Amino acid sequence: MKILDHDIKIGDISKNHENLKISANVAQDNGFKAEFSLKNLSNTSNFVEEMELGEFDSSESLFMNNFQSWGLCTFVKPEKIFASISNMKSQLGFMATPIPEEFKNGIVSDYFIATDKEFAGFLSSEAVHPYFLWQNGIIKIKVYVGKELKPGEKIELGTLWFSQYESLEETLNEYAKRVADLNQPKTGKPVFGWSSWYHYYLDISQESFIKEMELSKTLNLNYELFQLDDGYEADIGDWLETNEKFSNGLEFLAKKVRENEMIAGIWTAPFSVSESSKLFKEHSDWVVKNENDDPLLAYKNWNKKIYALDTTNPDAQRWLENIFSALKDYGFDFFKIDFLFAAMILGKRYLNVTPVEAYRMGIETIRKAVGESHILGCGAPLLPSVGYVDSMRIGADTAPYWNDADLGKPNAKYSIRNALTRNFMNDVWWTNDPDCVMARSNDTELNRDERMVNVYTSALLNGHFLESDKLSVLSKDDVCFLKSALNFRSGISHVKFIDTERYVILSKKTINGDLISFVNLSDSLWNVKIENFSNLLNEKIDGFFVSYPSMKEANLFDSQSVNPHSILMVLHRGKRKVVREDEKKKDGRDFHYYGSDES
Amino acid sequence: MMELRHNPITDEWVLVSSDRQKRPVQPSTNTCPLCPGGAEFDRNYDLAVFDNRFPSLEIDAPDVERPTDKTFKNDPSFGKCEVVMYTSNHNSSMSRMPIGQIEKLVYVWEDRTRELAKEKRVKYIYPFENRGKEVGATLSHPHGQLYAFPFIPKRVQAMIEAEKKYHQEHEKCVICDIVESELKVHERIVYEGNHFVAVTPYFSSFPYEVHIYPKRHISFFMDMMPQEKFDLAVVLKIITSKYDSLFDEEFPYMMTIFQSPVNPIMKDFHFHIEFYPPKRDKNKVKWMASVETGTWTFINPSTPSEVAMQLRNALYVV
Ligand SMILES: [Zn+2]
Ligand SMILES: [Zn+2]
Repeated sequence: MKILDHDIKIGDISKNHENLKISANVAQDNGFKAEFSLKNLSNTSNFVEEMELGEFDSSESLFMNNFQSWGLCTFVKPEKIFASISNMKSQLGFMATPIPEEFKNGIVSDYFIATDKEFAGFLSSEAVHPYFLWQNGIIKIKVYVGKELKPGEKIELGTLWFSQYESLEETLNEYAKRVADLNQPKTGKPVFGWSSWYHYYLDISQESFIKEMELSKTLNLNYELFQLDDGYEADIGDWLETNEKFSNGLEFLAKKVRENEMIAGIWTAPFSVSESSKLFKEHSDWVVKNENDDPLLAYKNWNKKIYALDTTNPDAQRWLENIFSALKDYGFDFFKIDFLFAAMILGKRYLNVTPVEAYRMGIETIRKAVGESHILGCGAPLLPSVGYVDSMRIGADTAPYWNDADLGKPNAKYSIRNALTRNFMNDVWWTNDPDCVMARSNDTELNRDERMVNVYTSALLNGHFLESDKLSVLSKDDVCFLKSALNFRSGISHVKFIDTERYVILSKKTINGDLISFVNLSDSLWNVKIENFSNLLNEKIDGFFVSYPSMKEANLFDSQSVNPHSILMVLHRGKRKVVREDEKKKDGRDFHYYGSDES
Repeated sequence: MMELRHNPITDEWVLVSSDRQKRPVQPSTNTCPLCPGGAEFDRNYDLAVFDNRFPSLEIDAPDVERPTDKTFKNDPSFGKCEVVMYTSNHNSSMSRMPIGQIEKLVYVWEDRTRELAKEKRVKYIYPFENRGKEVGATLSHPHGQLYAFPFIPKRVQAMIEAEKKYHQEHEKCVICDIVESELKVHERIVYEGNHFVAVTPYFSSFPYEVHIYPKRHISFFMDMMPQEKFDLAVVLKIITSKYDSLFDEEFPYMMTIFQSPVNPIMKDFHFHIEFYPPKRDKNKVKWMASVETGTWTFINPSTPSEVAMQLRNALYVV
């Protein structure tokens, strides 16, 4: 491990590089903690891009992470994927990386990375974007700055934590805690809700939305949240104006949801401005520009060019605040804000701030407008959002089909994979949103096993549990399937990584109690024995195991097979400790209160 | 006035309890007396058991005035009438409660049995539940009741004698044999757990009658291993959830739990649970009328094996 070209040592290290001085203060902290800063020593302003802070040796396989919600977090063999990714580099837009140029040089892992024995992670992303670049067997520790430093100006580059590990899962937990200690996020409560997206997509209408809400009452589904997704707005950017499918407008809908005693939720993409929107026509100066001062393409979607709102522009900020104040006044209390990476693209803005600072100004503006209301971030850079969002999408969009390439595109398999690999963030940085579950057995390519992976894994991991089906097409069996899955929420789960496609979930105190689950995302059979994981289970008096949903007793030592694309769940039970408290009432009647250590 | 009176014509005891006329009816507002903070509870609870405000039996039973005529016999109404709160969640029910909550209820039933049996004058401990207005339940908050009788009730006595008779003929326990036969013919099984089996008996009195038998010969809650308690919870959950899904409504029933008498215990008694739903169909109620009440003879308008199939196919939440 080298820091600023020196072998790592406790104390101050510095390095000069073209009139810039990079300093590091290294301390021991269950490994090392290095705080970096940067100063412009010259007497001219200097636009700073990426800086190299150190390097260490790679291993054949790396645990890597993409910067934003939809990006992968998994083990990769960089040698193997380098060729294929560098072929695609022309297609890599800001959705895939804030620094597309770096993919010409190697493979990037944002915020943290682990070799087979070492873990390195930055504890915050307040001003700069920290990342790791794998290049020919070496991992370079880097940050992207992206602003002009005045003569003598100094900025903080953040703190790196570096540690050798025995258990990657435990180290990720420790890393998450360190990030939380520094950023002090408050975590919210996961919600059970309905979303319009995965059945209706853009075809959602006011009538369908209300019909679904009424049906949810008939089916006794007791959603806490009813959330309108994309499809209501006049255009991307024109959020308060509805299209012809929503004739009574947003306030009417929010009121309807509240009348049904649920939280009204709404989707927006607040940092995105479509080329066809009124907003762009009226305020083309409010978007991030390229060197020629032309609007800079952030990404393409909805068959449109999408520009990024310049969140540093005071007029744009006021507009943004007004949008969210209005939505809140309408009665919305849950804001799913999407495509957030747009605010962090590299380009010219009103203020000379870094892209990360610009992003944080944008999200801070929204937070100011919505106050204590719930914010669910999506398509968002992860580390700079800690402390600003109540919940965060941590994987690719799901889909009513299993498989696609592992590139952040919609599919059921890799969406749930990320929910497993990024479970360590849940309830520490925010509430994880593993994306929606679909209980339906028709209008889907997923078979029963695959649906069970989608629905039950999400329930077990106990992030948000947002269901997205057309309720009238659910069979009675589908409804029972969904209601049964709800019995696995409210627990605390830890995920053990077996390999990229196989995971073990250890859950405590779900509504249906403690259990161990084996998730097999692979295409082949997986033989497991509970015995091999018994050291991870709670001690229980007279413990025994019961397979779910068959409810047949299972044996610790039996080899059980987990089918491809399936989850095997085994309840861990034992003798219950039920305690009694007696009370004699004034009228002479006896009262006995019974309780237990677990639900 | 409160006492036990003996019916010499049938040799049955009757609980005379004229105070019970003042029983509460379901209040129309949302002031449930059984919710935490309601009339009965000044605190929160998970599960709870308390003395009925209007008991038919009580530990400090008032002295009775003996009848002057020797034809008649009475006794103090000694015993206990307890209300068993399944959960503090008003909108739940056995069918909707988590298995773990039902499992805890099994432990509570066990604890009540053990505690009440310490009083030597208690001869029979009988937990039960009336669900739905069709069977006279006045409060919808999920709860059951429990009576500790100072005598063995007539129908239980009939079970004991029938078991003795069967034993003499077959040299085996009657329910042990029923379980073996039902598992063999497999026509009337609604759900088979690891340790308990739910069937629509060959001899069902009610159309949707279901019995839950332990596969092993056990007489009390106290005989159950932790696995058996959990399995009983699973079977209770699945049966009541199936009941609810039958007509997509809260299915009314009487749930009766039969265990061995106490003081003294009878090891030959085979623990079991019987469900008597008053429904014949979605909108038809089967009443206890002259034949049933007067002669203890039931007319069952349906075939148990067909009902078993209907219930086997009924979906459930678990
Ligand atoms: Zn209540
Ligand atoms: Zn027996």
